[in-house]
Amino acid sequence: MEQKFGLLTFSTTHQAISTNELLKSKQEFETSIISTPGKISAGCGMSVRFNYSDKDAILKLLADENLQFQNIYVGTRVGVRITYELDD
Amino acid sequence: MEKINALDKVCPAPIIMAKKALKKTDEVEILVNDDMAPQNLKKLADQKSYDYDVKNGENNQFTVTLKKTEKSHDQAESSSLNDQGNAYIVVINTDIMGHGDDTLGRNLLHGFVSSLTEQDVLPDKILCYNGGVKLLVEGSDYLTDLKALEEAGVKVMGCGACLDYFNLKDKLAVGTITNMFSIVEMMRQQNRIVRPD
Repeated sequence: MEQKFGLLTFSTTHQAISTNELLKSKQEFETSIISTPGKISAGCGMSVRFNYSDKDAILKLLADENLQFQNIYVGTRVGVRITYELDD
Repeated sequence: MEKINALDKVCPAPIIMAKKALKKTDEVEILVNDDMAPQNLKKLADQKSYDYDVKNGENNQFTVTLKKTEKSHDQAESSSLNDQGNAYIVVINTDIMGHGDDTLGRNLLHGFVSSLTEQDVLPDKILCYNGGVKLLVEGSDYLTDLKALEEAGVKVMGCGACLDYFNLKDKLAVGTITNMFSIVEMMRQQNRIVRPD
């Protein structure tokens, strides 16, 4: 089964943790901190994983709250194998 | 055949009694009244390829029969610590990884589990006890990763006494319940244990 999810990368660990906590506090998003995958190797060691369908709502919230992030990736999970691509 | 009275003995005592008896004999009959005991004895039977049978008696008592098979004899002889290759198990005993800052520690553990899914060699088992069982229950944000690992063949297990202590026994959302006897046995039989603490 193929699953698609989004990944936000950050330049600092604090940004990653505080963004994840803000998103979780909204209750409407299912997010999780993960280690930034070696295949991406961008920014700091932590990224925030989210449901790709929430992307627009999350981006709007981050803009409203003036929160910085580095990039957005799309991850595709097949079993435990995941591939990442930069989102456009 | 040996008969064991394990009435009023709570888990893992009935299992220890059964295992002790099975060292001397090929078949045991164990009388128990702890709800968890038949289930845990079934797990022992599955693991060791014993024949298993349970009969419900009065007053919430169960009579469990365990019998060695040809397969269980073979298994006992071939199991050896030397041929484990890359095999390892992961033991998670906390929902916080490392010491220094708990917020950081919680997030590090998320990173640990997500990175685990991406390893070339996956663990055989993930054992969770104490605060580690919080990863396995409804509402935990580890479920996506743990379910993916389970689908990939990793056995995920949580300590029953710990789930009970946190009042989470009916909230288990991934993995199965295990007991201290099995945890010690699994740890003892493994060359390599990876622990994020």
